[in-house]
Amino acid sequence: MDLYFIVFAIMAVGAGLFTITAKDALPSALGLLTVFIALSALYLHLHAPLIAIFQVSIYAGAILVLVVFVIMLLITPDEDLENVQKNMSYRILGAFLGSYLIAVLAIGTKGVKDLLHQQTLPDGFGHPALIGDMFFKQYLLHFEVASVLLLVALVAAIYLAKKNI
Amino acid sequence: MPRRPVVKKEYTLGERVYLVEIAKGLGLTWKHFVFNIKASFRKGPHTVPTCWQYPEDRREIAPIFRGAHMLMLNNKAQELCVGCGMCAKACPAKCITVKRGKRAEGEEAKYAGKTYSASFQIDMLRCIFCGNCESACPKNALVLGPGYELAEYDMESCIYDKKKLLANYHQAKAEGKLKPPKKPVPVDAPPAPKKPAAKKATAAAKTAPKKAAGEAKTEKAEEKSAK
Amino acid sequence: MADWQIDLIKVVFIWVWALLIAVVMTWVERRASAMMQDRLGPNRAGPFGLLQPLADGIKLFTKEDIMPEKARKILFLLGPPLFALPAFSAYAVVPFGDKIVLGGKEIILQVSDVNIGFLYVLALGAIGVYGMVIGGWASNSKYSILGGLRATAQLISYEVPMGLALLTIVLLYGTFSLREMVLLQQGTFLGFLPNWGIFKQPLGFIIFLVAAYAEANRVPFDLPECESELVTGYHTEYGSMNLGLYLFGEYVNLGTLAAITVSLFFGGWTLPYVDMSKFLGPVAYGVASFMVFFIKQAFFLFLFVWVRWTVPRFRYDQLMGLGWKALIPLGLVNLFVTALLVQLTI
Repeated sequence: MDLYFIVFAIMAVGAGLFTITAKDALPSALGLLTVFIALSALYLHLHAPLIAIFQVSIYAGAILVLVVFVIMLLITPDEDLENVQKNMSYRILGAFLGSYLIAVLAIGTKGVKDLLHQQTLPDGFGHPALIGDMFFKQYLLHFEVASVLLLVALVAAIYLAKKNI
Repeated sequence: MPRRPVVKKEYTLGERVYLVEIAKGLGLTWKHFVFNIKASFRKGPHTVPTCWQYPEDRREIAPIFRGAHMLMLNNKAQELCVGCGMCAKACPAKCITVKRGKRAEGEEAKYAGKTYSASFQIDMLRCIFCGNCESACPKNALVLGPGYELAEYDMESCIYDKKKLLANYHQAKAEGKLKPPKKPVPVDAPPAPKKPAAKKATAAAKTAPKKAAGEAKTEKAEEKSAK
Repeated sequence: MADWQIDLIKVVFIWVWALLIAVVMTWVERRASAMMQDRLGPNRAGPFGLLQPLADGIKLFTKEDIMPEKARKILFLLGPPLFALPAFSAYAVVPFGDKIVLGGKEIILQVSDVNIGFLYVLALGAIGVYGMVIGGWASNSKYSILGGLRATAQLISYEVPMGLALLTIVLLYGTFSLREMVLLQQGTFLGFLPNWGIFKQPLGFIIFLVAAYAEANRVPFDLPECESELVTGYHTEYGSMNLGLYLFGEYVNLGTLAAITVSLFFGGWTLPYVDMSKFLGPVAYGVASFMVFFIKQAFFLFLFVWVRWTVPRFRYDQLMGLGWKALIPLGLVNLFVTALLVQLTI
């Protein structure tokens, strides 16, 4: 365990806790931003700068900005979310989703035993060109499935936005 | 009135692309930029043509400009003001206070008339620069001069006394900004050409009571100011 | 000198340079705008008014720091640094010169040559918007919150065309590293033109420039802070040095964007047709390459000012229309054509 990892892991976990406990919407979103930045620092530590930058520019720079946009559009600084948080159905739904996520994570821990022995990185690991190669040779199907998923979302969004096509 | 129909302007393709029009606009601002950069290297405080750098660089004022008042002297450096108070009566803002004094022996070099203004105050905070005092003055002694820097630090110094008014005259004279007199000065002027006697008599009859009334009123004003 | 000492010197140099550009830019903005509008501008403090930024700085530092009563205190104070810091950090990947030999050691004039290059700049630009959002939200004022709202919408709209324009450049050069891109722009293109990105990607350059103006909140796209509608937008409630940080961060952002433009499209520190390293000593070459880069950057900084005082502000729907209906389709077409050409020529 090195110091760099500990600092950013604590930062990520602490910010995550703050995100789900914060009373106001915008500080909560900023907690999520901190989580993203801490995660990207951890990716950098794992010699994956491209993933780190995508973490910041896509999740923090695009998706979270949209979340913040909606927050600013709907909630003024005077309001707080206590009414929403006290709603029982939301809580039950949240518990259900949370347990599902935890189950997924638990399945993921199956791969931990691969990490126990010392790893040797392949040559040029983390270089953007290599990642591109991998996407279009080794994992082409996964890549295309993801793009179809996004396309479906795009078409659905346009359908919702335009009532009569 | 029939309303004109609103004509919606159709933009051409070049205009809708923006870039060409922006380039034209950039050319225009660049022309101004270069012109003014060149101008700012000229000598003197007045470099950029549209811009006066105020304390160093002042605009010419019109010769009939109505600015700060001044009390005039004649050629022999005598005060023209006789302290009649016509200006105080003519003033719509009631900002002039005059006190008349009788010329003593040995003061002939100082005052032109037999009387003079013992004190002369103009409240510049109330003055509206209408110029009525100037046209009311029978001796052309009170003139609105070229001075326009009237800001002061306290209210007291905004009330101009005789000293300040004379100083204004001396300053304007030194700068050569005195106005040409509008009407001939009665004291030094040659006697007017003889008019038919009948007319003159009626004129005298007309003016005499007015004069008397005027004098009476000034006396009243003096009494008021004395109180 | 150890490596970390050299790095420290580079960091300090780039920091001072960024600050200096921002300081001088405030003066240039005011004087140049005055000259374009037949005025004189501030010319009393020092020769040509050059000490005016200093006077402004003293003013901002000595002013009372006012915080609105109903503001969110912590977030209110967090906003300005969060806006200014990413702006400064983005300078880290700017290649501001080729290399210089000092004390027998070859030093590359770039703080860090990371292989993700301008993606880093894009990411920091995206982080910078949180400064505006937080400032606008924490002020608890209608103008500020509208300014922050506009900033978010504008940023996510214009990051897409900017990314598309940059992707064409990546296709062209096959690298993310800014330094490698500049090195690839030496020589000539088609025999007579300088081998610069603008001649290979004119449409990409225009899209990038327009998006850069929008990212920097510059006229004609300064809707987050447009004076005629929102007082000054997201920093309406700020005063003293908090406001100073916002204004400063904006000018640092301009410097970064100008530097990125120069590196991507105008050959960075290289001169067309002339190879400076052949007839200049190693030290003189380093300085000269920096000067060439600086002159190119200065032109784009001036262009920011020049456009600001020429073009009126867009309406908000026009801004969104331009972004989504014009720039993104253009960028996609440009990307497609470039990909096709690159595929055919390789």
